[in-house]
Amino acid sequence: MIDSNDSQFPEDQLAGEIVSELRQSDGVPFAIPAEHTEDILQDAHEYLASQPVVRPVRHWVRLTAVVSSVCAALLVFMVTQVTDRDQLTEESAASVPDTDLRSLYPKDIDGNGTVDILDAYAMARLLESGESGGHWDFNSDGQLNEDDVQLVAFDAVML
Amino acid sequence: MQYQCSKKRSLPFCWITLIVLDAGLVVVAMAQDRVASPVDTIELVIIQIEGPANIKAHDVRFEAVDLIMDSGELPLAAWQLEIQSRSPGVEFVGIEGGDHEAFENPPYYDPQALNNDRVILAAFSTADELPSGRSRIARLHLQLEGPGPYEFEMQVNVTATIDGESIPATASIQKSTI
Repeated sequence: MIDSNDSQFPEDQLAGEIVSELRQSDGVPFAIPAEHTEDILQDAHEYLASQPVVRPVRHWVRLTAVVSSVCAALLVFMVTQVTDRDQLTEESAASVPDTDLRSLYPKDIDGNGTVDILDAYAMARLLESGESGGHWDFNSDGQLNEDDVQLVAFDAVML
Repeated sequence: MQYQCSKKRSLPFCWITLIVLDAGLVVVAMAQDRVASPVDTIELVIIQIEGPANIKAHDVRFEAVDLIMDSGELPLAAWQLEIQSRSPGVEFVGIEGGDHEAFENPPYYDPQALNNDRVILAAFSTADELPSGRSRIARLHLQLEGPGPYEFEMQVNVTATIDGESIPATASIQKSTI
C-alpha cells in the first residue's frame, strides 16, 4: 500500500504535480518518471498479494451449471418414469389395479405402451394358470376366457 | 517484478459433483431402458424374391412364400411382425400356419390385409414344446402381376420366449418350395 507519510512521495504534492502537469499538457504526452512507475507497480503487487484470490465465474461455467441442472432434473424424471413402468410390468397382472394408463389402453396388459401379441400371450398364460382376471373381460361376458385373449390378439394386428 | 496471474482453472467441487451425478443418471437411465425395451428385436429387413422375366406386364400369377424365424437355441413362444410389399402389383391373398405344431394354425392378421400389400402377423403358443432354431412360422399366398423380382419390407416387432421374455431372433422370407 502507498504510505502517505512516505517522504519520497508526499501524497498532496504528487497529486498536485500530476494534476497540474496534466492540465498544462493539453494533449501533450505525459510521462511518469520510471522510479514512480516501479514503486506504483511494487505497491500494486503487494496489495494484490494481500487480497484473497477471486476467480471470476466464467460464462461457460454458468452455462454448464444451468445445462447440468436441467439435465439432472430431466434424468431424475426419466428414471422415475422408467422405474414406474418396470414396476408395473413386473407386478403380477392380476394384482395390478386399474390405472390411468390402463383406462387409456385397457388391452395393454403388460403396460409397455402398445398392444401387441405379448399382451395376448400374458392373458393366455394367466388363463391357463387359473388366476382370475375379471377386469380384462373385454367382451363383457362375465369372465376371462379365450374370447378375451382373441380380442387382444386381433387388436394387436389391426391395420 | 511481473505479476503472475494464476493459470489454474479448476472447477469447483460442487460442479464436479453435479457433472458426476449427471453422468451417473445417464448411465442408470440407459441401463434401465435397455433392460425394459424390446428394441433389440426390432429390425427392418428388405427381401427380394426372384420372379419370371418371360411374362407380359399384366399377366397375373400366384405364388407362395415362407416366413422363416430363427430364434437360435431359445424356444420361440410369441412373435409379431409387419410385412409391406415394396413392389407394385403384389397382394396377399392367403395366410397359412407354420411347420411346428405350436404354430401350425394361421397367425393372427387383420382380414383387411387380404387383397392388400401390407399385413401385420402375430402368433403365440403356450404349448410345452416350442420351436427353436430355424423354423417356418407361416406361409403367405401372393397374387403377383407382371414380370421380374419383387421386394418386401419386413419389421420384426416382437420375438419372445417362455414367460414373455424378449429374445433376439431373425426373420426372413423365401419362396415356398411346395
